[in-house]
Amino acid sequence: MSSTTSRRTNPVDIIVALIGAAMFGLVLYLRSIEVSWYPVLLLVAAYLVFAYLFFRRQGGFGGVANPKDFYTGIVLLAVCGVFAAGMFDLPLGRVARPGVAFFPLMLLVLLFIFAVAILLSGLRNRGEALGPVPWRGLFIITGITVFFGATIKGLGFVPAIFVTGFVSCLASQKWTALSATTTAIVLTIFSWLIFIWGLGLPIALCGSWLRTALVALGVAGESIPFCY
Amino acid sequence: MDLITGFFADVGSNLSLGFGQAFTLDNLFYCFVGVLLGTAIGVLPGLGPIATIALLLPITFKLDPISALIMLSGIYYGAQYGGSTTAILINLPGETSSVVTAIDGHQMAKKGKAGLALFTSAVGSFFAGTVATFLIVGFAPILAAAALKFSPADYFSLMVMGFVAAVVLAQGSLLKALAMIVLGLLIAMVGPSESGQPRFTFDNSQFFDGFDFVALSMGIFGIGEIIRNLEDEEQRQAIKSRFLDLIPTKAELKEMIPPILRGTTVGSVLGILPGGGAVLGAFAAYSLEKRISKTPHEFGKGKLAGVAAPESANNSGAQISFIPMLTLGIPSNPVMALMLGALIIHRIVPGPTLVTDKPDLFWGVVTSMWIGNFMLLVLNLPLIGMWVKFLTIPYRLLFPGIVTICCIGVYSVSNNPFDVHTMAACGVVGYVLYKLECEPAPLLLGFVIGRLMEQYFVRAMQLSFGDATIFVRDPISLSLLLVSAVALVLVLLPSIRKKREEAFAE
Amino acid sequence: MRKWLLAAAGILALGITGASAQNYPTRTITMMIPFAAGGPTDTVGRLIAESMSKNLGQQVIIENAAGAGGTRAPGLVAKAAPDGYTILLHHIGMSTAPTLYRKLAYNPLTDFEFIGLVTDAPMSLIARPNFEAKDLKGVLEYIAKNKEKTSYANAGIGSASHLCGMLFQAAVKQQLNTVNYNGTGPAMNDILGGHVDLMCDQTTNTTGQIKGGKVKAYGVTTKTRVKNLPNLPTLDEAGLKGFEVAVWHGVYAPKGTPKEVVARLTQALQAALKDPKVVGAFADLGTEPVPQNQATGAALQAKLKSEIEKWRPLIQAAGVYAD
Repeated sequence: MSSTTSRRTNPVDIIVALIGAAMFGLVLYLRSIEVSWYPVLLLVAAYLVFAYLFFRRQGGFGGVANPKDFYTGIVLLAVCGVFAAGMFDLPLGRVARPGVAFFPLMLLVLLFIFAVAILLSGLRNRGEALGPVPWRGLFIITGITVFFGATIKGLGFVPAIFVTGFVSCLASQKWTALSATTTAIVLTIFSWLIFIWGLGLPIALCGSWLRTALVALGVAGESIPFCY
Repeated sequence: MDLITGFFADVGSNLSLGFGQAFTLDNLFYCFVGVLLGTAIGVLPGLGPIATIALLLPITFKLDPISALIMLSGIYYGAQYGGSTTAILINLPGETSSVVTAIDGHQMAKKGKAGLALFTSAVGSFFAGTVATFLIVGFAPILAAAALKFSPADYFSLMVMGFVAAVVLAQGSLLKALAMIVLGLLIAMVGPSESGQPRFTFDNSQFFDGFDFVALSMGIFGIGEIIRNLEDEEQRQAIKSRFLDLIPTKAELKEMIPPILRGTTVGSVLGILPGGGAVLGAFAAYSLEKRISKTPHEFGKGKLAGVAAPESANNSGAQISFIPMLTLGIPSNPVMALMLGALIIHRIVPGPTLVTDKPDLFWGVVTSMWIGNFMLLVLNLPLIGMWVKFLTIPYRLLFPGIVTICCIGVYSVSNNPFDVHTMAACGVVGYVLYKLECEPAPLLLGFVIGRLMEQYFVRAMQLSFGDATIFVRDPISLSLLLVSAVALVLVLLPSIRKKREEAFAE
Repeated sequence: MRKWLLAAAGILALGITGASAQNYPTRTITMMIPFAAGGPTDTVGRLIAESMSKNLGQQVIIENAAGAGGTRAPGLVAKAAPDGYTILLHHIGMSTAPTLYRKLAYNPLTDFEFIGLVTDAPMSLIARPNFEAKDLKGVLEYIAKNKEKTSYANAGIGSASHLCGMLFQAAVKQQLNTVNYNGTGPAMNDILGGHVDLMCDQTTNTTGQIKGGKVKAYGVTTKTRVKNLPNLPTLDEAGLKGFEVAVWHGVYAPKGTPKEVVARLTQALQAALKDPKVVGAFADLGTEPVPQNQATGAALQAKLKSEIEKWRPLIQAAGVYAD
């Protein structure tokens, strides 16, 4: 394939990967002997850290023969771990009266088989490297979405959207203060027109925190229009 | 039986009765308002037909029942039209059915053929809607009776066929596609189980109701796509497209007609089945196209048939899903349940006698569907030029808008901040999937049919007292499983062959 | 700083004395429904909400908070501000939840103020169209012969059809093969398709099918026959002596709602139950409003108490738990 094609897998790596799998097995075992889910989730996290360290040892993306497959396997195994941890309290039922764990267990077994197969194929077949990650964009976009969810009730429609619009502009390398401000203002007006004026969504224009603050500062009286 | 013969005796006079009802000035107006509103909410991500219809129910109490139902159904199929617009333009499928359209539609838009994609989608939907209306007129009771023959085991096997369809959808590794479906099914298990007992919630009450489809889809497709585009900002240039581009050439016209016909057929057949058939229509139609195409490798890179077939399938499915409601009084999806509720409040008891008791209502609504579809076509063709203009906005100014509208849209589904946070997390998931070359479409299909599949599985087992052979003893189920098996083998064959060739090459 | 403190004190004071009960209501009232829009409970809610709006002079809007087998909405209302602007409509499930759910987030008897009863919706026993029995006696014979091979459909744990099924199994002294559906629609679909044998559900759902001759009907679960299904005997007269169950509905407000506000809501409810439009729509569904003296807080509280006691042993004997 292309020049990014990586080298073949070193046998040592296979052994390290097996240690990872053993850790995963430990997670399942601990859960089966009724250990509460907190330490289990910790172990799943540890497993992910282990996978990361393994990945560093490999010299970053592209160390394994086919990193795209290999890490798919790793991620899916971690998912299996989380679902397995959530499964042990659930009744399995009988075949004639399947319990709530019956169908998920079937799925879990399937996913585990697929995950292992993908992981192994990642060790055997060659493939392309993962390539660069736009960390800046990733953090800003994810962060601002979380921010929106956290503040839409408190700050209300107008401030939340203005901030969301402004900050998401920063995700681009080519942002300027002027374009971000303009975009944010246009977006705020535009979304007000569509969602509040047009569709009449029941979202407060300025939220409960703002209202409390405004009243407390004496800026406005009891009945601020659009604040509730 | 006499119901059926009576039904056929006077299709002609019934149709004229229907047109008489639907062509009054009032009802034309309500039909127009319905489809306009439907298109608007379909285009906007998040706010779907369920929320809109629930909001509008109190208003419809003041209308007469025929107008009310005409308007509500206009919203429903109008939303199906609008949903594909955002899927094509900005890779944002707000409805289950437009997930498939996004695959090739958005690739077409990236190549500067957004106009053509939207045109195909509009024409395909109109054609499918027309065919579906005539199917309802001619065969509603027969189709409804046929759908009842489907037992839980048959539905389970139908879902398995959906599995296979999704595998065919995948462009890359088969193994990964299978893993993605199972992952989607597992994610669907989070939340309330059949018995009401919460599963995989880790005692966190936010998870008790499971994940919202819109949040999942917007995150994985919409937000994930933005992060991915930020990877190479230079490449993501504004797309130049003129209005004239939407008018297809003769060759393109020739290319789109057969998929539209096939898509309509597949969508109609699956749409009859009230338990999730409509969802599978678009997936199945796409798989069929890819299967019979001479150039299957072009799918997923902006193939016209990849838009025409699923769009026709999903619109005919949406229209056909009125059959169980109008002829049997059984809702095939939450929107239909809402409409039944509206009928009851208008003091019309839904049920198998509706056609004979209230012929004006039945025929009025059915004929209004055709009129509504026509309105949608007239309404949407000129709009295409405007939509395409959107894409000429530089991307660095466009994506903040997409992020914001996704946030509002997802929040508006149930005014729950948790949905917005789900979307944020799914954005990262979507990007990771892209990085790892895993297809998101099979994952979403798995998520959509997950609960249904489990329910049918559990019911089939309960009804057969734990005898798993029910899936091969039942003729319908057996034939569905056989079709899936054959399709799967057909998909596997080329990859086996390719591997061999590779092995020989080395 | 002083300004802040004063303002904070002002807000607190407003919170306590505010929301004056005299001119209630001054804004939109939200009625929470524990089930999805379009279902029978939703329909009852929308009918009375529409009529109560007229009496109160403010819109009563419906909010469907479905989920957790109908226990999510009561949980939300129990925690809502007790100002009369959030109320709850719930059915018989209010009295079975404390037994069905061992971890319930609220106590039906102590976390609510009671506004009044609404209606007692009858249920009917139906079967698939090709079921061999001609009448209830035939059904009982069929069950005696096929025992637990007889299948019974319900619309989910805790639903009215599930409760009726438990009562029915206790009455015929035979465990049936209970198949769970999520909602009446899918259950009715499989009855019509002949995939499952029996179901007992609200006439709201079954009347259309019975009149259309699409299902076999064996009786209604009330003491007297239902007006718009006059040919259908009661189960009691058909041979199941003393079998009686109705899906009663009640309206609740969060605990601590001012007495005047509750009284105002009761008055609005009573007016709605006299509204000819509501009475007519109820009649279409095979039910009728409760008498005016039942549409009171005291009647609802008494009903709830007795129903909790009625269902506890039945559910415990069946050994079903939803969590």
